[in-house]
Amino acid sequence: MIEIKNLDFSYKKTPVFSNINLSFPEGAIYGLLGENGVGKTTLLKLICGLQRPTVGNCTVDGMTSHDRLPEMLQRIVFMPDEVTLPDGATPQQYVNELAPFYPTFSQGTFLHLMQELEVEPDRKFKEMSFGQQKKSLIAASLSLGTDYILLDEPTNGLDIPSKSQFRSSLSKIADEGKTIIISTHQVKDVENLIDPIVILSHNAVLLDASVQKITEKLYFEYGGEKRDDALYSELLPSGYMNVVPNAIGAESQLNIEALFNAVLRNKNTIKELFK
Amino acid sequence: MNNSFDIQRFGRLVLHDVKRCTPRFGTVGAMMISELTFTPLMVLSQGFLTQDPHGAGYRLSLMVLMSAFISSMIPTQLYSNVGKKKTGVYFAMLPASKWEKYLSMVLLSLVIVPLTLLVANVAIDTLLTAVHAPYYHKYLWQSEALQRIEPAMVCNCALAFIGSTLGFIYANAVQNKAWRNTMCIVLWLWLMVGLFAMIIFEIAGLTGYGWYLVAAQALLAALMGWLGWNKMNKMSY
Repeated sequence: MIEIKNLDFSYKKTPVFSNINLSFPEGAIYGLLGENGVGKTTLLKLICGLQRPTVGNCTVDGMTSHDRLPEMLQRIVFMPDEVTLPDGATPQQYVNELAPFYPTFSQGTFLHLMQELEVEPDRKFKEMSFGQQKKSLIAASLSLGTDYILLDEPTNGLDIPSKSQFRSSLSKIADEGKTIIISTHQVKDVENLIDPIVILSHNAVLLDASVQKITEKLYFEYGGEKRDDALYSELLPSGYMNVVPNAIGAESQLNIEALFNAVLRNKNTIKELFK
Repeated sequence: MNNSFDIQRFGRLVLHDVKRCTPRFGTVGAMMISELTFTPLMVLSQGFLTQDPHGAGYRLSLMVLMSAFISSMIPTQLYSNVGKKKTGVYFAMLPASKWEKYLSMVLLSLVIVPLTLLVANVAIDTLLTAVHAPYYHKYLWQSEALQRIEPAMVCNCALAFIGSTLGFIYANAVQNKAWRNTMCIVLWLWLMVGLFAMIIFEIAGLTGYGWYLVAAQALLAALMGWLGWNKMNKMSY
């Protein structure tokens, strides 16, 4: 389990997090959402030990992240947003270099994922587009067999078919009990995939709840009139979509974009609703 | 699992680092070939360097200097991405301890690369002597200069090389800050000047002065090693 306790973090004099507490139990696909610059990438870096908290602690299975112990590093993989790969190497050579360090690496999974994502494992990175490089990195990261997979903006640069292939691959991996944390601002790409959802704001965690809890507390109404009590309303071709407090316990289909906007515009109300 | 040092994991890491160098082999290879061809070219084109009785001794000096010069710069090429925010993530997330990672850098820079150069240098020199190339009159080990070399001079040469290489690992690979690079280049130049001075003193017959310098060089090398390790231990991305 990943645990963040009373964590403060700042870049020199710019505070990013102030006394945040979060936990990520095993076996779920967590969605880490937030506006640009709120610290989504920083949080992932703190989890995998690439950054050191100013105050507080972040642990992975009880091991302090920033110690970057081999035992911890063997259980966690981080795929950054910006791809930096050895130009002269091929994806197969890349995983061959990594494989000896990960006892759980599966060559079969790697080849299967590469085939699903339609990338040739023996083609040099320098001959690939950004999207193909990204897909190779996704396949490599998922085939290492680590318990925790941290993905920063994984769908950036992927075409539409690749995005659905990515979602399907990730669902299969999650079924094996892996913990996946996806940081993204492209919420449509990961809709129906992420659960629970964590929304970050400057310095704080605005929401940390499962989809079930969200739909228990909020009602997503489609195709009606604009409501005065709505936390967020948006005009769609079929009418207004309203996000309102779910007073009667009605069932509805979550819309992550609408949720995100509702949370950002009603920080205090949301905190009260979900406390 | 031993999280500090595991010999099998360390072996895998060294092998990984050696393999990982191959995409950069272009630059590193060019540097090594320049070093290996420098001495023969100097000797063959400038006979004055090989006039008896110092022929083999001069060749040896030239080889040592050039090997030290090139070897101390090679870590910059091999590990220049380690301290960078974007490219360093791969290295930082590799499942090995920080200590193993630093030790692997040191082993490659201080032992594997220089040893490869030394063996190649001696092999080329032996071959040229065997085929009686111009000015190659004696094998290196037959040089009278070898018998006159002071232990202090050997220690100074070795420590100058170790100190400057560790300094380069710290400044270029681990620290990755321009002002530190500058500081390190100045330091490296100072060490090289010291090395040249020692050779000149040696040739001029002034011996027995060098143990103070050995102590100073050892301290400097230790400082560079500590700075590199300390930074590596605390590095964030």
